[in-house]
Amino acid sequence: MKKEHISEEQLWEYLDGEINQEKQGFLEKHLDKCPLCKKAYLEIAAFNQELAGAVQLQPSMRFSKNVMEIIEIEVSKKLYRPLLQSFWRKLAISGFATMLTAMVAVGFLFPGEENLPFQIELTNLQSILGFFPQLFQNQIFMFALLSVAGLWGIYLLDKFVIARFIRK
Amino acid sequence: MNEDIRHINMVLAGNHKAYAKLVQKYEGYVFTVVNRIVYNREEAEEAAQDVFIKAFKTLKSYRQSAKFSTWLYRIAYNTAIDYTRKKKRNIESIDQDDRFYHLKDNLHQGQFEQLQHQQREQYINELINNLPPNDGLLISLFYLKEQSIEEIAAIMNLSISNIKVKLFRLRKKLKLELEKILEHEAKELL
Repeated sequence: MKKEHISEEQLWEYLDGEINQEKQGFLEKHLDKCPLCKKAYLEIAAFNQELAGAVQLQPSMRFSKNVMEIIEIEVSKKLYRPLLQSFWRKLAISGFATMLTAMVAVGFLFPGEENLPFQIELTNLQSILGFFPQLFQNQIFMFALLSVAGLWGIYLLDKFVIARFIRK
Repeated sequence: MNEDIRHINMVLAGNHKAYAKLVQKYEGYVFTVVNRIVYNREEAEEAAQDVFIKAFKTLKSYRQSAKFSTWLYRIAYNTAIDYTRKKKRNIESIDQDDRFYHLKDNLHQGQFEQLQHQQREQYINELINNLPPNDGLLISLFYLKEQSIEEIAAIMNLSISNIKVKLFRLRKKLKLELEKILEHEAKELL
């Protein structure tokens, strides 16, 4: 391009608004006077418009609905998740289980002790389960067994209720 | 308060339905960014869905000092790259001549007597898709108007002047390629 004409780069800068006011004034004056530069400018402006129109693509019509449906599922999973999926509940239950295990261990280590602080009367159940006399005579073991069975039952019930009634 | 921030705060407060507004606003933006890397429309749609779900799950980590579209762009870019890795697609640029003739083959199927504005946009879009991924992304980000040149430079780890030079060269190249194709077709019609 000749020195007195506007370069293509300058025309793009002008279109993008990336030019200072002084230069802008000069370019506009020149465009009014020079048909060659005016033609080049109009071509670039038309292409710029087409480019802007071509760039943005659109997903399918159902896109946002699909996303929101997946999010609904995610939210319901979060709201109605089994007890053990919550960190604090998991911590509390595993802490309790550890305590029970410790109690069982103590029960085995001191089978004849009668002054342990956590002994419970379970004689009725012990008589039903009398075929393993030594093990089931230990009250701590019985207490731990019942507690673990109880917790396990609650956990399974929790999972069942969510699967059956809440997250159909 | 910025509309995006208002919706984000609503979502964080437990009204997850407010997220639909953000999805509707940015679906074109995210889909375009992902499509420039993934290339395949169906896969791009799947990846774009993943982007919005990831963004929803990690919305708490969004720092409101940055623009939401910039934060979303990062997730979209990383998700699209993961997709291409998983699908083992070759995202290297194709040889210039091959691209040109491949595009010309596609154009043979069109009705060139009535080359309309919409069709021209479609060809431009194909030309952008045939650019190397980062160049296609740069053009897209600039014309999506969600980010300024300064923000694009920060996102792409390039200087502002570098972005301006690249933009100029890419647009010049696209314009020339489109002119070549149209010229070629006009000759064939005679």
